[in-house]
Amino acid sequence: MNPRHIFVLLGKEIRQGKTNFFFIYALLMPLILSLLVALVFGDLFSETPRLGIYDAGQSAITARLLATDHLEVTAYANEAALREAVQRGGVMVGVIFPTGFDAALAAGEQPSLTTLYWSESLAKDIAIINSTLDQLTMPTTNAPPLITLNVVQLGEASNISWTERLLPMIVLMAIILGGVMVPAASLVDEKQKRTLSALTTTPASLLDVYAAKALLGVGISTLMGLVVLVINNAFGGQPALLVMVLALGAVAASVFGVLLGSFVKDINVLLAVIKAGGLLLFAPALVQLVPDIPQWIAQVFPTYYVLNPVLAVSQRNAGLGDIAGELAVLLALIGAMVLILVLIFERQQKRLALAS
Amino acid sequence: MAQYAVSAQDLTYRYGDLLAVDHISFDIPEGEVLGFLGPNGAGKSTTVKMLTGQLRPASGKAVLLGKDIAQNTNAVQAHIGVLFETTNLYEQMNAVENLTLFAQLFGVKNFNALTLLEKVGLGGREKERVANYSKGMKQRLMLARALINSPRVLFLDEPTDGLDPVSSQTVHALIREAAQNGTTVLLTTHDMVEADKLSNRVAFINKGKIVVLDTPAALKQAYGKRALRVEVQAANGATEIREVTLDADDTPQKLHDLFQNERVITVHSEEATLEDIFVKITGRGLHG
Repeated sequence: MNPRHIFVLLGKEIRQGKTNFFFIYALLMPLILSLLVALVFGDLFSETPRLGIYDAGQSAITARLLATDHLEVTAYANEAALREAVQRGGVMVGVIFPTGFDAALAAGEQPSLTTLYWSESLAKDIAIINSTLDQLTMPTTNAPPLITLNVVQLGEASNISWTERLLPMIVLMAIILGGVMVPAASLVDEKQKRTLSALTTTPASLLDVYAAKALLGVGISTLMGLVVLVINNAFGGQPALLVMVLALGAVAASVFGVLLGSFVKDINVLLAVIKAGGLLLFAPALVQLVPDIPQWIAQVFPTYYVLNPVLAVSQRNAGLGDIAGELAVLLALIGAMVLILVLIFERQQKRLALAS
Repeated sequence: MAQYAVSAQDLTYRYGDLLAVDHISFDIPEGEVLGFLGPNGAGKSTTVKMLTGQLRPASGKAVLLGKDIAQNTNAVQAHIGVLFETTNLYEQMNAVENLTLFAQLFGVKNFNALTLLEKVGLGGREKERVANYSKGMKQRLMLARALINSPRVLFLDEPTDGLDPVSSQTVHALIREAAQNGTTVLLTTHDMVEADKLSNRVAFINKGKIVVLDTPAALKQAYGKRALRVEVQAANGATEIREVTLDADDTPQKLHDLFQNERVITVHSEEATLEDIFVKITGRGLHG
């Protein structure tokens, strides 16, 4: 392999990207899906937690809550309207101030506040709202609580939000579209248009071509994986480790993409293979979409070892030691695919020459 | 300096049980244009693929510029140019981008795409996407690509197939110029007239074997009729053909009588074409 040839070919791939459907699709699709999920399930434009209030007795705290700038506070005319808003996720938390709340507070009676939680509220948003309520009702920082919270959860009793459930799918999609589809489609396209034969009669070898396409896949895959995690507020606190596991997953996807592209004859066959095999590729994400089924099933599928280390680092703050086993499996998978590629390489060269 | 630019030594290739190339041997000196002629399936393309390092021979070896290409593929490929029969350009790119990519892969320094495009008659069209080019323009661009590294050996597969006469002439002129500059050319073609015009020698390949290899003139002499075809106007005004064998004792007298007694319209030598010779030698046509 010759690094100069690889970079020349990589440059060509990037320049051609603007006219390549799969390239554009791999860049846009994860973004569109992320934005769509965030828009539908509500936490894209809600950096500010949303609080709903029904004040039955004109509490002074309501006015102070409405004046806060770190909460998006909406006052409702009646309790039913507030409950309905919480039920559908319009606000994450609803607070009902009973009649005489301020007076009871002033008298030191420790009045009770009914708080309604939307079942898919993010923990951080609930924490911010609770802490604001505490601050507004406590005379000093170290004082004992002056109110009793009566907590009611509304909506389905699930503690995994749809955003969280869909995140693995979007992350895997970013990795697979960039890592598998882009190199595979590019390779198949060059075979179909016979430009690959032209390249291999230059000093560049077929291995240089494979390496350039794999590098392109790794680049897009890693970039889009990171972008998707950032958009979904799921980047976590270990950027270096996250980039490393994401890049490793991207390498696995790209080597698979090159392998797939070298076997498949034309784009139609490639699309058919992706359609048929897509279920297997995305199976680990599908399993996580349905928390009721045994989650160990996901481990049967190779892409689990691409996806899970990424989620473990970004979502569960796992360290390198925690994911070492999964990374070892991933490295073994990469090694096996590279071995297959080397074993079939001469046959591929021959097929290419005979087809030209 | 290698004695021969190209040396095929007992080259053999099999497709399963079919012996596609059957122990072929030939040499091409530097600067020579060798026409490689044969019908479809004769083994031309397979031989060229072995000579360009795309296929490994089952046995024998292809030595280019003194090196076995199977052992030194990339090093030898740096000095060869290949024009494929089928268009294989990056059609979404323009001509300059296509040429620049290959110039970079060949490591050509100070490459000027515009000069090369002018040379193949594509000046002024360099910014257009290749997808919008006509077949002739694409073929000329592919020839420009094959010439990008000033190759010492040029492999041309049907360089003028399907081109209009003007484009064909441009391509012929470029091949002649390359040969004059010392480039060795292996010209694979069905077009016998083209082969006759451009080749110093021609090789006929049939069923995986080279059946004859010589200069077109020598082949014509060896296999053609030594006769004159004389067109005369008869007394009734009709045109008649007379054939005069050149090597007979009475040839001068016959010719004298013809010119003396009849109205001669045209005189042609009965020269065999390369296609006639091919059919005579192999018993099959070139398009079969």
